Amino acid sequence: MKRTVIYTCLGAGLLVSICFSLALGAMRIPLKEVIDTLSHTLGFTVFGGTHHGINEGVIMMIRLPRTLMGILVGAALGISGAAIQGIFRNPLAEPSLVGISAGASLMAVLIIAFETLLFSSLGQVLGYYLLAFGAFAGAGITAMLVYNLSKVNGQANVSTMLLAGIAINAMAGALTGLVTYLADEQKLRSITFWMMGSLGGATWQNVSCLFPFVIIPVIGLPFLSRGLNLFAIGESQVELIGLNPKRIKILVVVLATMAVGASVAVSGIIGFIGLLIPHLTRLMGGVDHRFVLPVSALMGALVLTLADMVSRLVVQPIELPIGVVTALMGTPIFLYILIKDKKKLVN
Amino acid sequence: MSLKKYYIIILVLSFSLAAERSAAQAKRIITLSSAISETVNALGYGRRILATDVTSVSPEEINRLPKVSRNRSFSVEAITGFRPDLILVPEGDFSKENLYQFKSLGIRVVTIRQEFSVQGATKFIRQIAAAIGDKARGEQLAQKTENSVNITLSQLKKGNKSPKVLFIYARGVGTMNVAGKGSSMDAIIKLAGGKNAIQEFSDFKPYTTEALVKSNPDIILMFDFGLSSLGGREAFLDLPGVAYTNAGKNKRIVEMNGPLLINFSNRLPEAIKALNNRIL
Repeated sequence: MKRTVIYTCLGAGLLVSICFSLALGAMRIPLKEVIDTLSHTLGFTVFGGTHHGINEGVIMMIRLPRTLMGILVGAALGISGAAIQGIFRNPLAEPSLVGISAGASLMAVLIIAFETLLFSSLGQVLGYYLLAFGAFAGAGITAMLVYNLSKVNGQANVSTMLLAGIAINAMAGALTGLVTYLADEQKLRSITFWMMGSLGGATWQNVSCLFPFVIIPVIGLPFLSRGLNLFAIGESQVELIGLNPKRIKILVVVLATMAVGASVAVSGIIGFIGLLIPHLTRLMGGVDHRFVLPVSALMGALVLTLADMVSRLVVQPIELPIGVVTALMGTPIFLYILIKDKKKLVN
Repeated sequence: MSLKKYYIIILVLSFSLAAERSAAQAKRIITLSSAISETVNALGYGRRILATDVTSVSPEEINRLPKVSRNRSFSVEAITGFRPDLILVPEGDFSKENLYQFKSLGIRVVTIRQEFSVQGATKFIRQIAAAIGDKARGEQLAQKTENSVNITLSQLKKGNKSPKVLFIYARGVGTMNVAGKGSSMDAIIKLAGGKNAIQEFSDFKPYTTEALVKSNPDIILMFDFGLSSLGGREAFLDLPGVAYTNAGKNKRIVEMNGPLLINFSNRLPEAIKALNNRIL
């Protein structure tokens, strides 16, 4: 019952925020025209359905892909954050904290640096897929690396995990900087894109490329939630039920890094969503992964859509990097978890 | 055919030509670098500029315009909000995605490449004029600039030998870069009758005390905001190593307006003359 309410509220919230996201922006477009344009595209008429030229272009070519990208990236970061925390059995295991996002961005930067060699033969759209797969590989490799580094007696050691994350973040940051320094300036205009993230480059091309990378994990991960629940008790429990813990682990890591990698490839590193969202979800409805995973996806989509609106509207006519907004929302939660854990240790 | 008919045909033709000409011309322009804004203004189309970037601060009427880009960070939607029919942007400042976004909105974007030479400056002017749709005026301004550069070059002050000039781009101690070969500063120093003190590398590279002492410049050149970011003249002379150079011994620290020196646009003659006056 309570969960039905939560699902309904989040669903309604997401719908409302999508409407606002389409209606608000640097350009003032009357709500009537927004509804007109959208209904016209869907094939029916509400207010007479005339063409509005540039306004229609802004809604269809700028705001809609951007809103969709926000939803996809938010859902991806939310659900993969929850899943990775399940595998690590720790609420601090967050893709951007433990270096998974950095691994993804490093691969993406490397691919872009050698872009002219690859892209000219592959073409633009295939190039986007290559970027997404590359970032996926980068994310997967770092996730496995951090997991194996931090595992002590089958259990992830928190401090090693976070320290490994710091090391990988620093190394990936340095290598990204090095590549940016060596590659010609115009090709890699801005390192802040990879470090702070932005949804500003959303086009139908990269949104459609991102879509499968997010939808497969969002549908697939909840099927593994029973396994993840048993994981929380211990790997031996998984075996008792007759499931293969290793297989679950690999499946979760592959699906989660697939979502994170592709998101990083199109929007850079957007931190703390993977930490903030699962935490809020658990506060609302407990630790059962059958609940945490889908709700994290839904809430991630909602929160990132809102964060993007903030980044677009606060310092008009320019934009705040979205990573700044999510970090401002997420870091207090991070500190809160630390303080709570410390109290638990003291008691 | 009667004379009257001829007359009408000529009238219609000239109307349609005029219409075509004005239809091809850009009327609502966004300029995203100081050099581009300056050049569009010099071509006589300043009033058609709707918005610029944060570096476009001169002349005053350009400075008053809204600034829609800051260090290459901008919102496609905010720019579109001005309903421009032409965006002039330095090559490389828009990403592939941005170019695609503007294309799908039907807004024309022309990327302008800049080369740091006299030829480059005239080419730059012609490119911009062509984008606006007034090649004739571009040709005029390019010619004028070239003539004026030639006159300026022939009237330059000359010393016994050309002084070694080191350019330092500073944003506070710790973020200092020096200009190597092939950079905009290298080109303007040469044009103004100086010699770039750095010959070992190209473009801008981080400043080191040893490189400073080794290059032993006669003059150290900085942008006005650069020198103030280091705490002014006296503070700069106290930096390690500066006292061992000729420039430090003779206190020859020159500060100048940044955009004027690096823009390589129609103000190039003015820039050459100003720098020449300060270093010789």
